This record gives sequence, C-alpha cells and structure tokens, in this order.
Amino acid sequence: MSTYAAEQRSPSAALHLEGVTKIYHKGESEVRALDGVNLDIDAGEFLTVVGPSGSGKTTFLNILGCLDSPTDGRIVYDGRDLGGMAEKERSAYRRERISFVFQSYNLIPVLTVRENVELPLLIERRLDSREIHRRAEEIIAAVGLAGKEDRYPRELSGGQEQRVAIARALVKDPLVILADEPTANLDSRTAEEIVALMKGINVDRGSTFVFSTHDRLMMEHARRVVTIRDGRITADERK
Amino acid sequence: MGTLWKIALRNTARHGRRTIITAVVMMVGIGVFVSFDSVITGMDRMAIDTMADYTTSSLKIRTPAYVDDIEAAPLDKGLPSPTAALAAAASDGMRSTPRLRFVARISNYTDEIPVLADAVDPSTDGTVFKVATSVESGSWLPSAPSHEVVLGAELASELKVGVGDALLISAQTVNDVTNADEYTVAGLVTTPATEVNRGGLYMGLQDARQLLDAGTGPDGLATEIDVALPRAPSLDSALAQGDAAAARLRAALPGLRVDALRDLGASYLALRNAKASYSMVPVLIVLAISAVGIINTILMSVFSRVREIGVLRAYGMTPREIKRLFTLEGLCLGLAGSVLGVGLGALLDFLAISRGIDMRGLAGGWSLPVSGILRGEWNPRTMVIGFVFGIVVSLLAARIPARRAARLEPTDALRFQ
Repeated sequence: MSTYAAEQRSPSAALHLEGVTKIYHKGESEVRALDGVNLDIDAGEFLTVVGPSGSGKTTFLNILGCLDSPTDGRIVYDGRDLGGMAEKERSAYRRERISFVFQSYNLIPVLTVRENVELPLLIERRLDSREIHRRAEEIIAAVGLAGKEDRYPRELSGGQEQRVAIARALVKDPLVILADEPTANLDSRTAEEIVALMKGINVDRGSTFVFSTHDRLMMEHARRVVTIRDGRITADERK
Repeated sequence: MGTLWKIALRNTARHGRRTIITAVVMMVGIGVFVSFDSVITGMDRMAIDTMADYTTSSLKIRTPAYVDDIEAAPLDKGLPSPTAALAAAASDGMRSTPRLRFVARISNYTDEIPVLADAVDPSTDGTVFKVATSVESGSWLPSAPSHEVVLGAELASELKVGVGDALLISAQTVNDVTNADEYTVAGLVTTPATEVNRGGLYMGLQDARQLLDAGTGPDGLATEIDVALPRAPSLDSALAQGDAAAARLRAALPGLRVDALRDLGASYLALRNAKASYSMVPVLIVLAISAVGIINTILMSVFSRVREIGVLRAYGMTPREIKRLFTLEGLCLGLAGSVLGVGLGALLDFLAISRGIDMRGLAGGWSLPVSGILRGEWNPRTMVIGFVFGIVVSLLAARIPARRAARLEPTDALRFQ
C-alpha cells in the first residue's frame, strides 16, 4: 500500500506552508533562497508566483513539489509535514499527488504522445492498463491533440509539446500541478492558447495550478498572484 | 517494468551508432571466443584421433609390470596370453590387433640408429591403425613372413635408404642375447604423426618373433593388444566412450592393465587444459574493451538524458528505478552483443567445420600431432558461456553509469542545460 493511496485523497485538501526556509551553501557564503514563507493553497486555485530572477520562485515550486526539502519550516498536507519525509516517501508523494509542467516541456523523446501521457500512471502503478489508456485518450482529447496520439515529440510543434506536457500533468488527477514558466518558450499566440487551456481545465476539472512566471498574460489570467522577492512573500493578491 | 523496458529498448535503438559500435565490439569478442574454442577443440580432436589412428590406438591392453617399466620396452613382461585379450575385445565387438614393441638398432651398413620398433600383425593391424594406408612409396607388409620392413619416410631419409634397399636390424632377444638379421625396405610411410615419420619401424609379427626368439603361433610374444573404438561425435564423448570400454575390458581381463585414450593421451590433454586457459586471454581483453564501450555508451546516454532523469524523478520514479532503467539499457546492449557474438561464432564455427583449416604447411614445425585439414567442432556449451559472459559483463559495466544516474538530484537534473 502506498503512502498516499487513492482513497485517502480529498478534493478539498489544501497545502499549508509555515515558515518555510531554504538555505543553500555556496562555499563559505550562505544563500537564503526562501526565508520564512507562510502560505495556504486551497484546492482548485489558479495561482501565479511572480518575482524577479533569483527571487526564489523555482525553489518555492521545488519544495512544494517535494523535489527539495526545506532547511526549516513545515509544509503540511493532510496533517503530515512533507518537509521532513525521507526520499522514498517524497517519491511516493510526487508519484501520487504532484504533477509538473516544465518550461522546455521535457517530454520523453522515445515515447509517443500517448505513452508520454500514460507515463505518470505507469510510474504510479495504481490503475490497470485499460483504465490508463482510457484516461490518456480522454485527456489527450481535452488538450486538443486527438489524432496525434501516436506521434513522437519531434513531430510536434512547441505548443503541441506543451499541450502534451499539460496532458501528462493532468492525467493522474493530482493534488496540484506545478508549472515553472510554462509559456516562456512559446510565442505569444501559442502562450495564450496554453494559458486558456490550463484555465479551462482549472475551471472544468477543478485542478489546482501553481505557476511561476514572468509572463504578464499569465498574471492577468491568474486568480491569485503571489510575489516573492529575496525569498520572502511580499504580496499576495486575490482577484 | 514494462515501461522501463520500453524506454530502455527505444533508447538503445535511438542511439543506433553508439549501440552498433558497442555491440560490434562485443560481437567480435564473443565470436572470437566461440570460434577459437571450436578450432582448439577441433585441434584437440585431431591430435587425439591422430594418436589413436597412428600411435597409441584407442585402448591398450598390457601387463602392469610392462607399463611400470615401459621406457625399457621389456620383452619378459609381455602379455601372458595375447589370444585371451584379443578374444575379450572381440566378444565386446571391438576391433583389436597384437603388437610387439622392442628396442632395435637399424644399420644401413654405414650408420646405425636406435629405434623403438613395432612388430605388427599385417592382417589385422589395419583394422586398428591407419599406418598401412599411409604408405607413400612401396607397399605395406605382407601377411606372410617376408623379411621386409616399413620405415617412416624421414627415418629412411636419415638412413639414406629407399624401397628395396637392405638394412641390418639388431635387437636383444628374450634370452637377452643380441641377434641381427637383414631385411628389405618394403615401403615408406608418411603420417600425420611426426614420431612415426621420424622413428617408425614396422616389421611383421612373425619376423620379429623369429628375430627376438619370442615363440611362434597365436600365443607368441606380444607386448600389447591395441583396440579401436568407433569414432565418437566429439572429443568429450570419445574420452567417455574410451573410459567405459576400458572399464568393461578391465572386468573381463583381471590382472591386465587397460589404458583408455584419457590415460594414453594424458600429457596432451594436460597441455590442452593449459591451452584452454590461454585461449581466454584474448577474449577477456576484447570483453574488457566491450565493458569500457558499454560504460561509455551508457554514460553518454546518462549525460544526454539528465533532464529526462529529472522528469522521471519528478513524476515519482525512485533512484532504484532509474538505476534499473539504465541497467536495462546495458542489458539491451549486452543482449545485442551476445546474440550477434554467438551468431558470428556459429558462422565461423560453420566455416571451420565445413571448410576446415589447411594445417599441412605447419605440420613439420609443430610438435603437436596435427596435420592435414583441421576442422572445428560445435560446442554449444561454449556458446552458452559466451552468451552468459556477455550479459554478465554488460550488467556489471552498466552498474557504474546506472548508479551515477540514480544519484542525480531531481532539482539538479531539471536545471541541467
């Protein structure tokens, strides 16, 4: 039985960050990437994290996604502190609760669109292959790539690749989808399509999105904009 | 596991050039190993067959006392009843012939050379040995006493005699007195066994018994009964067949010593084992190169896919699964190299078996009893060893880059440009 079994999931669950601090050591010097971050993220949010380069946005997403551990503070989900978990538990949490969308899409080049989308479910090993196929078909259609299931990433445009990445992120119905500058490599028209797609999914499916971005368009679409400077939250606006 | 296999297989295919180079190096290593073993086994087989056909026969029945003092070829320790030994072999369906070995001195009336002569029964010797079919000039010995001898061609050349020339042969009789007589050279033999060519002196059994004052008739003196066995499909089965036949004859002939090919060719077989160890050296070198190739190929694969590793980790793949993924890629390479290697080995084996290798030009300089067309032998065990060895080397080689991939932190991997 995995740590985060399906029946334990609650669609209304929220992430609670309390005094989250991340310190990196570079030789003698110390870099405070995050400095006492307090934040609550509710289910179904469409939240954008903004801030200048080096402000701590990526570290924030990495810690939220259990890719990195905080030096201090707590990230509480379902009554458990995620920050203090061992690597095995963090892998299980990522496998079952978190999805990522990356700036450079990061699709697996040797897998087809369908196989890339199915990958998180195959790693999760919770569903049988028929259900995995069904879910993948459904989500591929939802991102507008029906008919391109058997193509390889090299056969797709940048916008199509990012759609596949979004489908891959959505397929396992995660607690939260973390996206690190998802439109940064796209032209403005494609970026607008992708943002509209994600927002539509957020509305239709209630999926929680947390983005880091410099993109003004994304900020406009976000219902909540959290600003980070020098590792601290300096603004938290809800629209 | 299916997903890991899929990714591993497709990545192996995707980096075709790297995969092909590594697999080809492995193919050469395993192919050389398999075919080398085939040729070595074929050489052993040829050597053992040559021994059986021209010098030792497949089985020898002698008295224990004779074998203990074999260097002196003692006539007083010959078989008490050659006919009993011949009958025992015949009742088991084996072909056999008596021989009488004695120390002789051959003189061409100018020079004298000591040799170990073989007195043979011309009517049955050909059923066990092939010396009679190797007459280069002249003829083999007639069945009836004729005062004729057959010489190894090189010995004749050393004595400067040819067919029809007279020789004086002297020897100690069973009564320990020296006797001598004149004989005519009936024929010269050239065989794959160099010792026969260089020192072979063959005389009819009745002529020899007369020279040695060693009785007459069926139970006249014979120092050994030589036995032929049917040709077995492989060297190992030939040795096993000899052991089994020797055991049966020992039971039938208590008090006599029966030596099989394994005993008669002991010194050669010991040499064979040493050769087998040496034959592994070039193979190990090539497989070491393959291992370096695999490490390099998978390391390159790891470095070119750092971000991919980051994605897989981000989606919850554990370090152990990442390690397994790259180990599987090593296994794919190993499988490709091993399958190709065994295939190449089988092809080379086929050529070595069907066409053979002409050893005639080498025979003179070799101390091994190998001459003529050397043919390889199929050895499925070697193919299995080569295949398994290739897989094991690949798995071991893949461990290094696989561990490296597994140790990558997902955040570092995702940042990698």
